[in-house]
Amino acid sequence: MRTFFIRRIFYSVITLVILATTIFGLVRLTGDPAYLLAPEGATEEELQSIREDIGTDKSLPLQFGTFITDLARGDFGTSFQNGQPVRDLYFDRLPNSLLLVAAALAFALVVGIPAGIISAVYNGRWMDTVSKVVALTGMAIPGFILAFAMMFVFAVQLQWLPVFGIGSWKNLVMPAIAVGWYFAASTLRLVRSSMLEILDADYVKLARLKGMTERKVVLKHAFKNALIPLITLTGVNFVVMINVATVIELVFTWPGLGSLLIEGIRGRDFPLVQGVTIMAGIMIVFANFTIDMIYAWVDPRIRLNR
Amino acid sequence: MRKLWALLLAFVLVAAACGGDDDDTTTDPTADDVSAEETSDTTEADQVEVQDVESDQAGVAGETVVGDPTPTDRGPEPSGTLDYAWHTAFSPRWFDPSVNTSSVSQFATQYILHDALVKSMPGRPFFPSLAEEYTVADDFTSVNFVLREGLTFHDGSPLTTEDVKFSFENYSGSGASTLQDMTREIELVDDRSVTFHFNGPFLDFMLLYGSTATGAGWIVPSDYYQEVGAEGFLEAPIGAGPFRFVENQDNVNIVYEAFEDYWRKNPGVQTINFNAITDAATRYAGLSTGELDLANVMTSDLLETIESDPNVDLVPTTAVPFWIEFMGYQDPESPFNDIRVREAVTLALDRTAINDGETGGGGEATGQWIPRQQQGALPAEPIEQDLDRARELMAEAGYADGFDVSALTPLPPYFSLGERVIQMLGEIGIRTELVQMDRGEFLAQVNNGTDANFEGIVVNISGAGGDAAVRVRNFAACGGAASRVCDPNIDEPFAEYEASTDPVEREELLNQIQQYIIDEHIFPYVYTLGLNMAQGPDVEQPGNEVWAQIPQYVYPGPWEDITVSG
Repeated sequence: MRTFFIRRIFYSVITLVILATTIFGLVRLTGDPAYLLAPEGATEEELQSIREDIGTDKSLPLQFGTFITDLARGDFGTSFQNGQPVRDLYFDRLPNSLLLVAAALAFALVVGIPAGIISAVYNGRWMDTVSKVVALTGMAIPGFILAFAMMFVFAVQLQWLPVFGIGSWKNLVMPAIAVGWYFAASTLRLVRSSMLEILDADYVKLARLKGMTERKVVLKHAFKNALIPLITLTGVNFVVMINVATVIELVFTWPGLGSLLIEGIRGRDFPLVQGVTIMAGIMIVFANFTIDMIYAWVDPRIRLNR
Repeated sequence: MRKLWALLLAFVLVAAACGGDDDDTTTDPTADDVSAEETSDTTEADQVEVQDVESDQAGVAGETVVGDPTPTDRGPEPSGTLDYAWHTAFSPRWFDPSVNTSSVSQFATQYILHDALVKSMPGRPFFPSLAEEYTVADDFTSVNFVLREGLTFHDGSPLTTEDVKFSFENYSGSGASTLQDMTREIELVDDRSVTFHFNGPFLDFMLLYGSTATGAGWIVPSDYYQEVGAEGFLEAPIGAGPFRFVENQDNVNIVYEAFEDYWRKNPGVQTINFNAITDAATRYAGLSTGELDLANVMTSDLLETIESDPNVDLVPTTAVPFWIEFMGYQDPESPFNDIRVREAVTLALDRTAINDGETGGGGEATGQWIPRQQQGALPAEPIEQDLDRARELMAEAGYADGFDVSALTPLPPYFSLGERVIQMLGEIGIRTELVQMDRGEFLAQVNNGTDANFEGIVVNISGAGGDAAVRVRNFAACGGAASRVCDPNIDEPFAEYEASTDPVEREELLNQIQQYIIDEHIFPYVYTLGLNMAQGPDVEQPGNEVWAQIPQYVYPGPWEDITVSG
């Protein structure tokens, strides 16, 4: 287990170093940010002064060295556009993203799990058909279309919910559904397929033969076992959702990490883009690492094979 | 249902045009004062135009310009909340006037939070604000300002000449090097009187110091600024403007409250919620539900819906002109080296059709490449499309069958404008293709002068403040930061202009240069952009008294004059 742990740590660090190097290079392909910070008609001296202020006047190896050593200290630098430390900007926005994703995930599970169970239990009947249609539309309809449809109905027409902003539970409803919609559909599909497989298993049949009620068979024997892949998916989804809610954040003016990244990209804000991307990478690497560790702990064969 | 489709369509189109959303986080001069969003379709609302500058109000040498007296009756107490939607991402740098890049976005915040000795106000381009009066010396070698009595910052500390001196010396934004290089000494005569002494005659001082050309004349509290530092100032800015800073929520919602000691009057509203909402459909929805009172820039897809919405008034405003630049036209090998070809391009454009197509007639079809609002701009003559004459000119120049041009690049995201121009040039045989460049890259190339990596034709626009001379200096004079022109017929009179201390002579020289550029068709005028703003029913002033009241500034203001009901 120890060797496996050390090897996974090593792989994780390598992944992050590759990510940091790649993002460092990619953002610099977008051009000179000094032009976007300078007033119109700025002289070369003024542009050079801006480059000196933000550190892009130095050679690329030197910039990279500074970037890596700062990164090792947990310093992502100062945003070119905002003049604020990227770490502060990131951690100011992170709770908003976590809140949105937690709500979206709750929505996805509350909708996806019961629908998946019903769909499996009533396989081939009308409720299954309805569930499959829900799953299909959930996977097919882009979140922003749903966002605007909800905005039109619940904010503009009915005026039950606010159009934009953050602060009350009412602000959270539409963004959470818009983000969680796709994941609700994928949860439904996963639960349905797992349940179908398990409901056909011998031990479930035996439970029925022993006279157990169908309700107990489904919830106690089948669903419990169907939860394992769902937990894995939920963990990965949680990390992914934090970083992919960009469009929904923009529609509802939700101050999360996705919109922060967009601001950085548009302003050639190298430290901001680097910081947000690397933090996203750390989250994903950490999630994968944790899952690997749990698997290895649960099933020792994994650590022997890998 | 139409509203829903409008919301969806607006988002899809804007997302397509802008690469995912319609916001713009850059601080480049055109990004914020000329919106990244396109507008179209006709509107019935009264057109609001950016106010013209009266050139004689900067101060005549030797005469004292006296401001409005500080009122004794401060008017009604502030009441209500004004919810405002800005259309791009917000940058906290806008809190700090010392880094003003002459961006109108930044001025929108400065007019809320800060105040200047002299600034542009409705109908009063060089309005003495914190200054009770100012006097330009006979020989333009100094300017004296006298502060109003009893001025304070939001924290209650007195505003003194020390703050004026510090603010100027600490200023590093647009025009800083010119202003500071020309200034020999700032003499603090007493707590209320300060004199700027220059190295020589400095005729442009008031233009740079007292208009939206730069942010140098805006005053920050020197002790506080030095105590907290520039970074700390962005966290908790203090100014002397009509509203004080309360809170910045993640650079998305900025809350201000009325400063009841503001010298000019009691602000009309108690609270301003400044919301950075980058999506136009969301801004419109916010207005429709009453969550917003004012919102910038409505996209073309929303206009029909807005016009049928009783809760929302559309307020069209005109901004600044687009013009054409011919890359490498001074190379004898270039077809555009021939003035007849350039004139043919001028005559090929149907400006009314462009205006109707792009902004539903909300812009202007008459003008020249320098905005008419800018001091010193020559009045523009209408230019009618004349395809027959354009084709004759092409034939006379030896291009009866036309020719190919490698590219036409418009400022992103005005690609539909580029397509219209391409179609019209095609009518006279100039065949070219649209190039869609990244907006940041385009702006970088524009400011790259003769090293710009453009080919063929560029459709350019600039929202920067200043006067006609600033435009010439930047875009038409040899060596100008955004200039790809080196023409002695421009450079020689412009050198004389720069050296002259005679305002009459300067005006004549500037007119001569502008006329030359027009006659030589160096920068053919395309049309003047229109921007559609919108407001809700709770705002007590009509739209044409809220928007574009301040010279060269299309957004709401002065903020202290706006009131809301309910």
